[in-house]
Amino acid sequence: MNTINQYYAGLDMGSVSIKAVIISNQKITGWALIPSGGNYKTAATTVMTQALAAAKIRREDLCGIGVTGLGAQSTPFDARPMSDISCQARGCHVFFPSARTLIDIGGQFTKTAKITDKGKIADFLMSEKCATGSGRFLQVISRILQVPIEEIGELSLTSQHPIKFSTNCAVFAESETISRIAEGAKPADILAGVHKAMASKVNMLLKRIKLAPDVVLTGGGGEDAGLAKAIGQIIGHPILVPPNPRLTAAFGAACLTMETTSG
Amino acid sequence: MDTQSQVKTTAVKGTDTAREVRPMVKDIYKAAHEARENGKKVAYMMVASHYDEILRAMDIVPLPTENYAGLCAAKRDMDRFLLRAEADGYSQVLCSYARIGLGFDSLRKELGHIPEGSPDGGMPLPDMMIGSSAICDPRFKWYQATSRYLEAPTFSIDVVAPPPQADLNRVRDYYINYQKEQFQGLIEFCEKQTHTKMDKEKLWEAIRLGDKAWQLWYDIDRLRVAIPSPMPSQDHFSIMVAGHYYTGTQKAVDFYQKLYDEVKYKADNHIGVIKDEKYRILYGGGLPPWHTLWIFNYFESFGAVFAIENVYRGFDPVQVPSHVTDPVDFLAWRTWLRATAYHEKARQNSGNPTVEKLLGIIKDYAIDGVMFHACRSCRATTVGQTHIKTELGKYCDLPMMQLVSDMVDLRDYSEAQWKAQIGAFIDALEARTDQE
Repeated sequence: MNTINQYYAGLDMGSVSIKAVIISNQKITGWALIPSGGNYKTAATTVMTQALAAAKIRREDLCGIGVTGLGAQSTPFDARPMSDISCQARGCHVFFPSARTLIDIGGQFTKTAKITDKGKIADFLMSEKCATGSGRFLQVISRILQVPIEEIGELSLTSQHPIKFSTNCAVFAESETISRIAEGAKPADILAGVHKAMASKVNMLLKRIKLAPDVVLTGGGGEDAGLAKAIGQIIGHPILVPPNPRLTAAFGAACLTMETTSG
Repeated sequence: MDTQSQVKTTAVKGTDTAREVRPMVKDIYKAAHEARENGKKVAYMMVASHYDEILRAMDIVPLPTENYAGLCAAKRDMDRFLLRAEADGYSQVLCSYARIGLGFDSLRKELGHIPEGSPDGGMPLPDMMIGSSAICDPRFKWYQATSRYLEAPTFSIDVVAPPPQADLNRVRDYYINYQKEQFQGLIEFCEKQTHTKMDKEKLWEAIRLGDKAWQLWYDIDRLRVAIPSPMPSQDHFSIMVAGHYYTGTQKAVDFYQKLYDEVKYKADNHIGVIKDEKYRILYGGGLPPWHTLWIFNYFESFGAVFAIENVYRGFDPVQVPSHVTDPVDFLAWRTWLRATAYHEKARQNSGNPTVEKLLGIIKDYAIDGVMFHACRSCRATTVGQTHIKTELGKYCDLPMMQLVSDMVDLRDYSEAQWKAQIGAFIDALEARTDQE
């Protein structure tokens, strides 16, 4: 079936932000990203409206909507919720067909997955119910250091002497960070230390699923160059990052919807 | 307790017989209360300790405290007991079954009566407490700690099992003799509490009934190799009540005979748990999430049925040699044979008896994927679980998933995380089917 000029939407209702992507023939024609806020339904409607406007199409032009993410059950649209790990894998496969291992660092969890040559899930592991395994850890440290979250990656790369955190708990790491600031540690060194601690946690998950190259990093963590470098160093493989890695799950949801709708 | 806030925790069962279990659970506590009123002895006890028949033979009413914790979780009435135990100084990583039991007894002591609204009328005060080292360490120490809250004589029995690498022929007699001494010590303790001598004929009769029930239970599980699955794991977590809490009684035998007949009929007539069975899942290990048993139905909504499980029927029937004519010797031999059933296979292959057992199940039951439940406060079933999953992965290429929460402590559970994992697991099962 010809899917050119047919439009599909993918909606990723995450804990930190909601993302909407419009695609036509596996190409992104419009997208939007807004904070999730306190009302998932309202936010989903708003972000979809913005994405449709960016793609310059109307809601009626959509052939299907796929929805994923922790808030997927709250979707206001007629769309079947899909596994976000599967959506991430599908999205990564389009950008990097050689990808066999996926790392998704989101606001709530870190997810790792082995993916097949068809972009499907072969095995997966999620981090525990623990903030140090998630992007929330970075948000906490960014707030303490008063460095905008989008700048922490570049700053971390300038570090000469990364500090070593003596804890793997976000709550204790917060107080430890404050102590290190008081001792005169540089923000870059603190951030590099945080990145190393997170990379170490990711590495534990990857060892358990037996990583295979190529390795792709998605989610908010993918926008953090310091984190990508730390993970690459500890696993000994280069890290691939798709363009706008926070959109990969929404993009994958749209692609999967296109495949299932168009047969 | 605000009974208005009770939420659904249970699963829709696959068999009619499993629906008859709830009154049996209520009767456990009712029987204990009645026993206290009628001057019969009641014992706090640990299931799967291989000593159940001794209590039955001595007319001691068993009161399984772990089961009560599971019941509280199923009723979502566990927090007050957990928090009470933690306020008394017990760590949040101590077995949550134990925390509920300790919290219950602590509250009762303070109030001077059973805490109001306790599930199924609560547990009466015991006349004695019989701990056990079988399976885990809190079961050995729990009742010693309970002595803070109530006065009842305590006996903890040691139940031993050799490591898989042991030369079984060399160590067998030492283990069996030691185990016999342990059972003998328990019998002497019970005789002292009841002022009655053990009647060996009554013990033989309890053993005969116990073994008959467990044989039927095993036969039922063998019927579950049928495709589609005639009985799911959520039923197992109900019907185990007969095998563990009515061991050595005719009631357990009758129950399993009825269940056997129903499961056989379903297997013979290809009546499955769900209409369109796509995937057969093995519950690979870990105690069940008593707080959220409906999760099994959630899997079923994707066509995935839990065909079999590896918990709460920890051993298959064994053949005790015919030269064993003393019932206490028989119990010691049976304990040994149960504990070493997979040792030989393990030595020849993976080195791990649990892995061998799971590999056999995967083959026999045509399993498509394996799910483990890591319980934060259950060391016995969680420590080593990741290792077992990894080892299993060396011998079979199946999607496997480890869900994390606790058997009763809801604070360790995240519904959103579970659903995200289950979604990916189902996709992995589907991808594997596509490849085939």
